[in-house]
Amino acid sequence: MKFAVLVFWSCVCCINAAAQSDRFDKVEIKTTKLTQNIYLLQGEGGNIGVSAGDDGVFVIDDQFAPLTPRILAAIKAVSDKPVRFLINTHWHYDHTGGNANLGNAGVVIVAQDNARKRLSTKTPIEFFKSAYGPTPPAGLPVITFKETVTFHVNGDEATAIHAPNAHTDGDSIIHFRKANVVHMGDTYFNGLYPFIDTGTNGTVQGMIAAADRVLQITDDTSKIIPGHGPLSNKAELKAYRAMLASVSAKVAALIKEKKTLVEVIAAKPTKDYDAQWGNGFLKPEQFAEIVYASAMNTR
Amino acid sequence: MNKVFIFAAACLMSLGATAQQRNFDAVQIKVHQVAPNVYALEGEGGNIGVSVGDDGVLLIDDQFAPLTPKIVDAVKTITDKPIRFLLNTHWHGDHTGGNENLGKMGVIIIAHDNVYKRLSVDQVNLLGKTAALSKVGLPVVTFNDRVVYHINGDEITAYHVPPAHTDGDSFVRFRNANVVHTGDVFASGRYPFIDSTNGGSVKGIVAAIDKLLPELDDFTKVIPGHGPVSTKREVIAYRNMISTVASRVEEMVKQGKTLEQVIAAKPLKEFDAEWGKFRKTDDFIPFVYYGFAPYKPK
Repeated sequence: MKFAVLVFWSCVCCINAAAQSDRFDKVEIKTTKLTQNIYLLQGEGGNIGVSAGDDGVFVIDDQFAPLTPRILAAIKAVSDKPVRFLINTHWHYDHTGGNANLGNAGVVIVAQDNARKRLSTKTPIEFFKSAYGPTPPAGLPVITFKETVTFHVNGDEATAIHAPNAHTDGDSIIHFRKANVVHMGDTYFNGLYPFIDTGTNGTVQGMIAAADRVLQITDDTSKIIPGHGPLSNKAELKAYRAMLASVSAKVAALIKEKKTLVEVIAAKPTKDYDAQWGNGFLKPEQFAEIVYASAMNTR
Repeated sequence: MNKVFIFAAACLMSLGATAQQRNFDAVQIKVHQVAPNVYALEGEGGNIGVSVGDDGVLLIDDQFAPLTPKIVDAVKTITDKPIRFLLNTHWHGDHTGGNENLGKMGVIIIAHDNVYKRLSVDQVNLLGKTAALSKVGLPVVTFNDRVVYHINGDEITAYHVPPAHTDGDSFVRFRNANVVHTGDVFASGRYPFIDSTNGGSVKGIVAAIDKLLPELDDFTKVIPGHGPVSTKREVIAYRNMISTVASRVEEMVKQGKTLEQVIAAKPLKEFDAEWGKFRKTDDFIPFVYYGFAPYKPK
């Protein structure tokens, strides 16, 4: 299992370093219109949110560097206004790979304080035994914030809300108040077990708290963009939150019984959920290991 | 006395709504270098802070609309880089008057959430009325507690302080340059305006200054909202003046004294020679008074 992941990840590393790969040649950017001004762009890497209107284009996350031209072409197809702002939901390379391209094009990059800190240095993702960065200066966020920033653009108020210690220690959730759309970054993986970067202070409790926060500000008509997976809604987010809480409680109980990591994994704390959530990026054993690591880190 | 106050208020109103009718022709923008990449611009209205360098220009406040061309020219004498960012330390017209002009030039305006709220609708305070700004002059990015600009080799942090001069004040700290722009929470060597009917208060000013002081060392350059570029020493003197004024006036309000009685009692008389040169004590006391007593429009 570990071997397969390592192979996969070292491939990703090459891509990241060379910024050129066959891997991206066939990627197409699929655009879904969510509201009058808001679009979901899906290619490879984290889901991109776009607000396009009279005040220009506001982009949430930018996938991988080689995709920037295709992402910009997809934006051009819906708006002739310039891209003015980019917000990074967190530091990971599949959400920030295009930063230097966009920064060089004059886009103002905004992120939570810790996301910039992580991007400014070589940062490992311990779970995958890989490391990324530093991002070139042009790709670093120029404006950072601690708790919230609000963009008053395109007739809406889009508030980036810091979700502490969730997927990483620099996550933001973006809430388009009037459009009733939320981009959750990687605090939400829809239909697949989420990765939690415990090496940069992510915690399962923070993931649950992020889901709770979004459940408070959404209703049954809200559109919820997950970091990965298809466009979602409140009912699905509730199911995700229940899955996180249940697996977390099971792992915590096993730790209380002094079970080791191997024993925790062998006890299959995720088994009730594997059919629905276990066929994605992370295998059930990996997710159990991450939840275990989170619990040990936050004891 | 009422007449005096109304007259004073009418004079001061020129700070707000009537800025357009004022003649700014004679105003010159003086440029003071404060640190290698940091300048203070003095003209009419609040002092402007300027960060210059490879990443472009950040302005802190922008005085009055008619002065924008002169301010832009003054910036051009320092750098050939474009003005990219503007930060408003608070909403008052002598600090935000140029917002619409700069917004039209594509400058990204940033401020605390409450600055946006106040600038987007008409305002009334003890100095008079201020009309809402059109959309192009409103902040496009607002924050609830703090933002950091990572530009020009520095970390420039704008952080909100609890209600002090207004309910949306920010201090701006240049970490590497060791410079602070205080907005109107600090006025150097003069009695300040306090927007007491819109959330400001003398006690809030004391609390905000107490939050600022630990960040200052003996070398920190302090750009006040009004008055000359200062140091920690002037900030401490100001804090002591404000805190004394606050306790005296609060006591008199508790005793049930009217504004006229408080003014007549000359509670600041030993401060007046030093601090009363720009704003007179009789004009200042109402701002303090209405921080403790409810304001009833005349």
